[in-house]
This record gives sequence, structure tokens and C-alpha cells, in this order.
Amino acid sequence: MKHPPLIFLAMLLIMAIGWTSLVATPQRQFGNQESELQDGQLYPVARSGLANQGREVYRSQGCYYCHSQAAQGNAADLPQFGKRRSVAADFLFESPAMVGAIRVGPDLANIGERQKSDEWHLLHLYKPQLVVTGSLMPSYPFLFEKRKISGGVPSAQALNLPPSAGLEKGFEIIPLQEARALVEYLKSLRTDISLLEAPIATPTTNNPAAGKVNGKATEK
Amino acid sequence: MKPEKNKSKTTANKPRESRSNAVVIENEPSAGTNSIPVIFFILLALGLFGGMLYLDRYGGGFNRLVYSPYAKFEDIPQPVLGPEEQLARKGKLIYGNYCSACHMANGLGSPTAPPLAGSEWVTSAGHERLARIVNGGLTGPIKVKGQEYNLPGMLAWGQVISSDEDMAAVLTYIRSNKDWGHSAAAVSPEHVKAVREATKSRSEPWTAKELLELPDAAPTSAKP
Amino acid sequence: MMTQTEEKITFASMPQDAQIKSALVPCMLPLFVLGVVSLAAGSILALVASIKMHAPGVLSGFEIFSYGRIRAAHSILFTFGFVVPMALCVSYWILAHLGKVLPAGRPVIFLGTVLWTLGLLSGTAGVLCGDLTGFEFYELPRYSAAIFAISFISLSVPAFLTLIRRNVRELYVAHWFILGGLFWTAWILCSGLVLLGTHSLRGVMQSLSSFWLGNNLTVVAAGSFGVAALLYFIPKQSRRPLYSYQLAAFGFWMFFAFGSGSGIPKTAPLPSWISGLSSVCTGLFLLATLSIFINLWMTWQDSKTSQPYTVFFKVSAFFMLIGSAFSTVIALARTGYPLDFTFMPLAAASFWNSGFLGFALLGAFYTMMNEIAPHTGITLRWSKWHFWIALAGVLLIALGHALGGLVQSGKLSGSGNFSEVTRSVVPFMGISTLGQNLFALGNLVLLVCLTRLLLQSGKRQSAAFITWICERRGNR
Repeated sequence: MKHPPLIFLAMLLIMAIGWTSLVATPQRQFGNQESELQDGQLYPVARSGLANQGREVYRSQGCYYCHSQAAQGNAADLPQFGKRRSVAADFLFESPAMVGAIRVGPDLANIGERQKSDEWHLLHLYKPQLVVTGSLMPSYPFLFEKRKISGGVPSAQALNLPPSAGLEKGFEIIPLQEARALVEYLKSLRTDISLLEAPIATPTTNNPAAGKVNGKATEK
Repeated sequence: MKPEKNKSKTTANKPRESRSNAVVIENEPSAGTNSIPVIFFILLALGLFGGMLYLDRYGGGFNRLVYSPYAKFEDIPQPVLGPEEQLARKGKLIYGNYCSACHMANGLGSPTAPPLAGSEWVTSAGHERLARIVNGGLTGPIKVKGQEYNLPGMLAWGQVISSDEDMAAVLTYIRSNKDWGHSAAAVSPEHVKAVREATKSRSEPWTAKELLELPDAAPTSAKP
Repeated sequence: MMTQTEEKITFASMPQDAQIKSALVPCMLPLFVLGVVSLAAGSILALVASIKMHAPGVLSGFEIFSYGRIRAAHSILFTFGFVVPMALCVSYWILAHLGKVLPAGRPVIFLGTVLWTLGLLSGTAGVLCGDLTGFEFYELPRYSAAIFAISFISLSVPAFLTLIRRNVRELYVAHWFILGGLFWTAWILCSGLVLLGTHSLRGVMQSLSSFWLGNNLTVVAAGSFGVAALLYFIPKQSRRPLYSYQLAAFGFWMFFAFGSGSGIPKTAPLPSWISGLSSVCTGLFLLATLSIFINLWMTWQDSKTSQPYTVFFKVSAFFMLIGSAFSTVIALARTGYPLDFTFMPLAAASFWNSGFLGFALLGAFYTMMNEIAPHTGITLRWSKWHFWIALAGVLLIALGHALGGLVQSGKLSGSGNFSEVTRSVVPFMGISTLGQNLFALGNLVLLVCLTRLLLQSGKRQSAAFITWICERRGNR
């Protein structure tokens, strides 16, 4: 402990051990994974271009500071957040992989299967309290454009806001490209394919909570 | 700890000592000579042992496919598939390869193909008509779900999907696809073989009129 | 073995304390200013983020104040604006004083400070404009990471040179932690740039690397500077030798060996062996912090004198232990709803970051400023206010998060409705916001203190300068 070079060497050794065990070994194990045949189809597949743009919006707004994308597949998670656990294969085409570390808001790993409505997502982004009472999520009005209704006819793309939204007469809210892309990304987040490492429990198992979403048994 | 406390008190009266005869600087801290309490080594040993036990339970055997809550690879339940489900899974792949280009993955059809989802041709009790369409092709107008379709025609896939098992697979898939709301009976490779035998002399595509004249009873058994 | 006369001669030829201090001032002052301003700005951002947690309508119309961006900006300002610059100041101070040598390479330090400020400004502006990395624990835009990597080399090489050129060859325990911290920070900044900045990893490996790197930066690298400060200032101000050299060595090896493996949450979509190994390391890391704490506690228990700033360091040692204990419980607990997804990790982070690192570096700041400008009495007055306000602040922040986390965990274990449970946690977020208020207020107090010190010193310097000018004119 008297000689700095020896301390430095020991530090290097410790760093090497830590890095090897927790970064290099996982990289060898699953860093070069490719899409595999799972449950009768190739999984995972790359997202559409619009969904990829949406991922950039998700990243740029810092959505991962409140939402995780890591369903746990346990008794607490299965009824609410998805049919199975999130695994490494789910993130193969994600760059960056925004796993998230806290659930101030619900887990989004399987949101594309739980909520398929564009309208709901757009309304929720515009003002979450409109569709979820007492929601703690901030609103994102800057992903939308507020403009005057031209020619007295509302645009087909305008949001169907309830009166409680407080929009003045003669104005409409149009989603911008960012909002559409983000919704496309959210709809692409699904964990409904059964995998070898995370099978979706079928009714043949004895676990009463398995394979049920919202109380209804899922069939395969 | 008591003896060690006394030790440091007595050193307060002596000139300050440090390790290994080194110089002690005025007003700067130095490290005392108390020895490390044994409890720390005991705790370290317990910690390492406990860690080993913890990894036995939660380490998943260092297998890259074992995720919590499974303790080891053998614990992961594999969904049990009946033979029909297996056939349908295979059929899904074949559908994706050949059929989805025109009929689309969602089965809703396109300008070149009528929809399969909800189609009475697909979910009919018998498979005779459906098997003939896929094997021999279709030409001319056809009425699907109350709507008339007059499209260029469907190719005969009998040669391309030459294996009976493959043909049975894709027919089973479209007949039992839950996403489309179908739950019709599966088609076995033997059924397909029988249809091919019965139609091997025919080379033109079928017309809807001809097919409708065929009986459409459900087969009485899995084998013809 | 040197005789007494030889020792005296050798000592006399080394630079004196006053010389060392005045040589340190020009390289430390810019870093001090950077650190204090970043801390104040960062804590205001943290306050806004905390308010948004229970009042989401606040400032929600502005994209630049989006919750995620503010959190990211706060983490950059706190870690890279406050912790690392102050840690470097502490390193220079300790290395120069213990080595009885003037700090080496001061122009390089100044250059490094300028570059570091550039990196900080670009990073903060970048995240506020949306250039987030996607990794919660490694929020550093690529350009900023590159500038930090280069400027850290520039700031740490003088520290190594100071160590190499030391007149007193003996190494104290704090030296080990400083060496470790410098090496670790340099490694993390460089490898973070390569692994995450260049997108060379695919999929969840990026996430894993960010967890590992982020934890190594905040817990191991920054933590080791904090421990170095505690190991230096507590024995010095207690006028006792550190209780046990052996125990310090034990703590040192445990700290780095197990700290480097900790920090990967068990909820991540990774095979279970990775988080299992990490949880075991977190548990053994508690043993490291415990050993350091016991060492320090036995030292200050023995003390007969009390200095005004020791209380910062004592509280910091407690927070180190508590934060480590919280992290251990979160990592190892496998029953019920995973605590990792609740607010509990935020409580552990508050204890470790604002509590342990914050108090250690603030205590060091006040001590060092007091030694640089002893006659003003400014540091004494303001530091008392700051201490009590900040202590109340940190305790409330952590309490709010911890209670909120427990409530969440309890209710969600029973598969409660998610939104209802989150709403029920709002009062605890209010407690936490109150704490953030106080902490930010304390940092503003610090800012005022520093400003007054600089103004005082500026007055004296300009007075001295004017006197010097007049004398020269008089001589002509």
C-alpha cells in the first residue's frame, strides 16, 4: 500500500474483473443476438420508419424518467402490464434501449397490445388528465399545433376534444409529426409473442393468474 | 474493542507514531495502529457465503436464457401445443411467405385478393372447396361475405406448396386464426393428399360456380 | 530511519503551509465557483422537477422544461458541475498538503477547468434542447462526453504529477482513495464515450453498460473522493490519528472490489445472473462503507476538540452508511413488489448524492475556504445556516421518497390500480418538494457566502494592487 504504481495495478485488475464480469461476459452471451424463430414467427423484427422516429421523440422528451419498459411477468405485473416478462431479445433493434428504472407511470413494454387506439394516445399526450382522471403525467401541448379552423370545416386530423379541455370555439388541435411518430412507436411496443425464455402462460398451467389479461383467459 | 481504545489513548501522550518509521507531518492526519476488529473478517466470510447461496437461488445458473422468476433453465415452462396448433404455427410461416402478399397479414385482402378474415369460404365446415382453390387456383367472379369480387384470379399453389403437410398447415392456419376470429376445423395432410388425388387430372383453375356445386360437408374423420 | 535533526532540515526545505495554500488558490477558485454555481442551479432544477411530480401542470407548456429534460440537466449539473470539480479541489488540496509540495501544472489545471466548463455548458444546453441519451444513469451527450474525457485528463495529470513530486514519500490512506477515484473517473469517462457514445453496443447491452458506468461514477468514483475527504478532514480536525490503518485498507479494497459490481437493478430485462451478482456486490459494499464508517467514528469519538466544520463530515459519514444500507435493502429484497420501481432508489440516491457527497464536499469547501481566508469569519457564519437548512432538506427529501416508495410497494403488491396508487403517493412527493426547497435554499446560502468571500478578497486584492501601484509611482 506504499507504492502508487502497485495500487494503480491493483485498481486496474479490479476494474478489469468488474468490467469483464458485468460488461464483457453479457456481451458475449447476448450482445450479438440475431432475430430468431419464436412462436412461429421471426422475432424481433425492426420497427417501421415512423415508429423509429417516434422513438427519437420518446428519447428527447425523457419519457423513460417516469416509464419503464421492463414488464416483470410476475403476479403483480401480469394482470396490468403484459403477458410475459421483458427480455433482452425485445430490445435488439432499439437504439437506445430505454429500459427505464422507475414506474411513476405504468410500464410501457406491452402498451401496443393494451391500447391500440391512435385517438386515445393523441388525447393522452395532449392532456393526460382528459383520459386518465387525476393523472400525474404532464401534458405535451408542444407536440401539437393549435390553429384556427379554416373554412368553417374542422380538419379530419383534428383531435376530438371534450368540452372540459377548454379549447376556444373556432380553434382545432392538430397533431404534429412528432406526436404521430410517438404514437406509432407506442403502438409498436408489444410483448405478446411467446418466447423460449419467457413463455406466455397458457391455460394448461396450474397458475390461476397465468394467461389472464383483464380477467379473461387468453387463448393461443 | 475496549483494549484497543485504551491503546489509542496512551499513544496520545507519546510522540505521534505512524506506520513504518515514516515522518509525521504537523497538523496533518496520520493513520493509527489499531488492528482491524476480527468481526469484519467474520462479516466478510458470512457475506461471501450468503452471496453464494443467493446466487444459487437467483443466479439462474449463469444461463443467458434464465430470467427471474425462474431459478434454472429446466424450470421454464414450455407451452404444450397440440398437433393442430403446431400445424397452424407452421402454416403461419407459409402464409407469410406466399399468401400475405395479396391477402395481407391481417387477412383483409387487397386490390388483387378478396379478404380471408371472416370469409365463409375459409371457415366452411368442409375443406374440399378451400383445398381446391389453393391447390388449383381460382378464376372469374366470386362472392365473399356478400360482396362480389371480380379479380384477375388466383394462381395455383399446388406445385409451389408441394408437400401435403405444408398445404395442410396453411389451410389449418387460415381456418383457425384467432386474430381473424376463426375456429374452424383443422385440415390434415391426408385430407390434402385425397384432394390432390381427386383433382390430379385437372389443370385449369376453378370457378366459384363449379366449387359451389361440390358438397361441403365436414369430413367425418381426420382421415378421408 | 531519519534522525530528528535530519527530519527538521528536510521539513524546513519543503514549502510551508501558507505557500502551498496560496499556490492552490488560483487553480481551486475557478473550480469552486463552477461547483457552487452548478450546485445552486442544479438544485433549483431539482426543485422544479420535484414540484412537477405532484403538480404536473406547472411549466408543462414549455418543451425546454419537460420533466425528463430537467431531471437530466440536474444530474449533469450535480455530478459533473458540482461533484467532480469539488472532488478535484479536494484532491489537489490533500495531495499538496500531505506531500508538502506545491501543486504541479497549474496552467494545465486552468486549461482543464475552462474545457470542463465548456463541456458542462454544452451538456446542459444539449439536454435541455432534447439531446438526451436515453440512459437514466449516464445522461451525457456525446460531444459533452468527449470534452469531459479530454478535460478530465487535463485536470488529473497535474494531480498525478503532484503525487509523483511529493516531498514526503509516505502515503496516507486518503491517497489510495484519491488515486482510485482519479483512475476510475478517467476510465468511466473514456469507456462511456466509446461504449455508449459510439453506439457500438446493441440492444439491452447499452442499458446494462449505462447502469454499470453510472453506478461506478456516482458510487465508486465520486464516493471514493468523498471518502478521501472524510479520511483526511475528520482525523485532522479531531486532532487524532485515524483509528486503524488496517481497517482503512480493508475498507479500501472492499469499496472498489464490490462497488464496481453493484448497481444493476433486478427489474431490468437481463438474465437473472447479472442482477444477482450485482445484488451480492451491493450487499458486500455495505460492509465496505460500514468499515469506513466505524473507522471514522472511532476516530472522532476519541476527540477532545471540536471544530466548526467537522459536523459536516460527521453527518456525511452517517449518510454514506444509510445510503449504502438503503441500496442494499432495495437490491436484495426479493419479496413483494420490486422496490427498484418505486421511489425508494431515489431516497437511497438522495442519501448518497446530496447527503454523503454533498455534505463531504461542502464541509471540505468551507474548511478550505476558511483556511484560505481565515480572518473574515464569513465561512463560519454562513456555514452554520447552510448546515442546518441543508440537513433538514436532505432528510425531508429522503423521507418523502422513502415513505412514498414503501406505500407504493405495499399497495402494488396487491395488484392495486396503478394510477390510484401513484396518486396516493402525492402527499409524500410534497414532503420531498419541501425538502428540495430547503436544500436549494441552503445552496443559495452557499452561493451568497462564496460571493461575499470573493468580493472581500477582490476588495483586498484590488486595495493591495492599488497600494502597489501607488508605491511604484511614489518611487519614481
